[in-house]
Amino acid sequence: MNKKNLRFVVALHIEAKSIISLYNLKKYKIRKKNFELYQNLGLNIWLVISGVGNINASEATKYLYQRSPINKKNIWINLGMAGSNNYNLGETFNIKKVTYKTKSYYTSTLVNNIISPGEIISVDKVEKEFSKQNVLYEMEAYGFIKEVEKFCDREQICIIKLISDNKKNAPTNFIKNTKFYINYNLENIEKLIDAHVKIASNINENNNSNLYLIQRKFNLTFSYRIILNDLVLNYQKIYPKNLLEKIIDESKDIKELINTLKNKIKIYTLRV
Amino acid sequence: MRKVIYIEKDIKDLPRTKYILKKFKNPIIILIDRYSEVFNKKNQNFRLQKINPAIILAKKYKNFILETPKSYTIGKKNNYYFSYMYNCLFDCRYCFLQGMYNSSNFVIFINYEDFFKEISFLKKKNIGKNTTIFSGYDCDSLAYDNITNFSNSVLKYFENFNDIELEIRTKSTYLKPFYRRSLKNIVLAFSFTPERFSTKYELGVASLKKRVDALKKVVNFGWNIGIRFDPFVIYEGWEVDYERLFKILFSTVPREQIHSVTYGNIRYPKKIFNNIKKMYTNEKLFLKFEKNKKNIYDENNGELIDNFCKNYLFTQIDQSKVFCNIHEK
Ligand code: SF4
Repeated sequence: MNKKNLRFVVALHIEAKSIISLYNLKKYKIRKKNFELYQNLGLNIWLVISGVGNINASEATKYLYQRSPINKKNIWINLGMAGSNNYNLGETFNIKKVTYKTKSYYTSTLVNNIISPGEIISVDKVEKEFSKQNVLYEMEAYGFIKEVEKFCDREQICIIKLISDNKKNAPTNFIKNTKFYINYNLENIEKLIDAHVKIASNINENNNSNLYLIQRKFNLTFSYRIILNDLVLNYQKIYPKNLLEKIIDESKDIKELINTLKNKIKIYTLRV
Repeated sequence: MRKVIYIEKDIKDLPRTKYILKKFKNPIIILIDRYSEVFNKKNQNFRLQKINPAIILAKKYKNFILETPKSYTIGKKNNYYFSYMYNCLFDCRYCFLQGMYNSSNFVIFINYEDFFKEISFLKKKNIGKNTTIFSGYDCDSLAYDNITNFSNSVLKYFENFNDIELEIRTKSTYLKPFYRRSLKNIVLAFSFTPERFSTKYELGVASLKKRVDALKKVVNFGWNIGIRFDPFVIYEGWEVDYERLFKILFSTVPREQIHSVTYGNIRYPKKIFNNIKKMYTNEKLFLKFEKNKKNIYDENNGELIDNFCKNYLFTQIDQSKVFCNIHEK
């Protein structure tokens, strides 16, 4: 099963419901919980219900980061409903910019032809005026992105918002409509998320050094660990593991091992 | 793929902004206050952005031209550089920009004229005669020229700066603006590595044949040509490849049109080296790099390169036209 490595931060359970069923997420049971968590370990997908507002979104993001496995390829997603002056109910947006008071934040530049790009003004109280056109008003994106920027690259940050109300239509039947709009757009939302997953697949995994092979034979001080780790990382780019094992076997002490590795690297010439 | 274009609010209505925007089909425009709020942030992945870099249109307000490091010259006493753009269309594995910037998005400073104004002060200070200005330090000067139209402005202005020398360095084959009467104070400088190396390590750069064909055309228009082997790279079979490359280039450009030839090894300041190393965990190109006394990371191959280049180049062109960018250990 290919891991998707997704982290969702969603304000309300009703907004999360379709995602929970799409990815077959199960409730994560812990005794003392600050936020409700869902997960699918096989796909490495986690979701937190943050509650409404930027403070909650920020806290829930932090909570999910601490609770779920850290992976360089994780995509962090904030999904939810928003209001607008002129956009139609149910319209879906791939948010590129979040402005809170005078500060602005940016998400990945990934766009597709299915979900329109959009900009958010994040606010602390329910917005009724919608004074600006062509933007979305909502209450969590700022809390989410301000927190997520601390540990995640911009290219792995995705915010998706759907219009629940606008100047002409108050948010009546919020539960029913939210369920409908998200379900209706779910396929497109999934496609956008998959595009992010595809981009993240280009991220280099860290090379694990075979240092443990040395540690089986020698006790290493902290400084030797650093020197040898670097040497082994370079060595294993050019020679197979069994040769390293042979060198370790034949070395009387660490100094001899370091010299041998250095010399082996020195005699290598780049092949093009 | 649609392009995301960030534009500083203050320049959104300027003619050059509109000109650049017209080059893109249905771009996604995001207005920003200053380019730095997008470009300088730490949490960015240079490699991922490189897949489809966004464009940032900005205005520069200060530091239009800067002094080059002391030993950097192609013959003149005063040496300055400027960058109307940050980052590059090409993707060279050794490019130092990827260790210098957090972002691989293209920043284009559209107020070209302000760069030229600053350059004209040098003329007024009366040091113009002994000055070279280098373009293409933080970008490839011409790689994006069909979008930016930068070289047209350069040609217009440098016609009047006839005592200040300008080097335009590139790996691009987009040389159309130079298919015209040459200017004596402009040096078109082309960086080359052997084809075998270039194919693997200089992604997006045209084949040697295409580049040499483009070079021939500007030679025919009489332009001064700079040839740059910087970086000069050592790998299995490099001698044969370089001899072949030298032969091709020196038979393409007549001696009298060769303004200068420079060569140097791959070298980085510590911070830049560490950033690049982290990006390519399996790359063998940097395997033998070590810190030297000046806190610069390079391979210990300066002497080898220097001897090889001198042996060949001094038989081809006047020694005074050859410049070495390998620094004392
Ligand atoms: S052409 Fe120059 S600026 Fe562009 S990627 Fe290559 S080394 Fe960097």
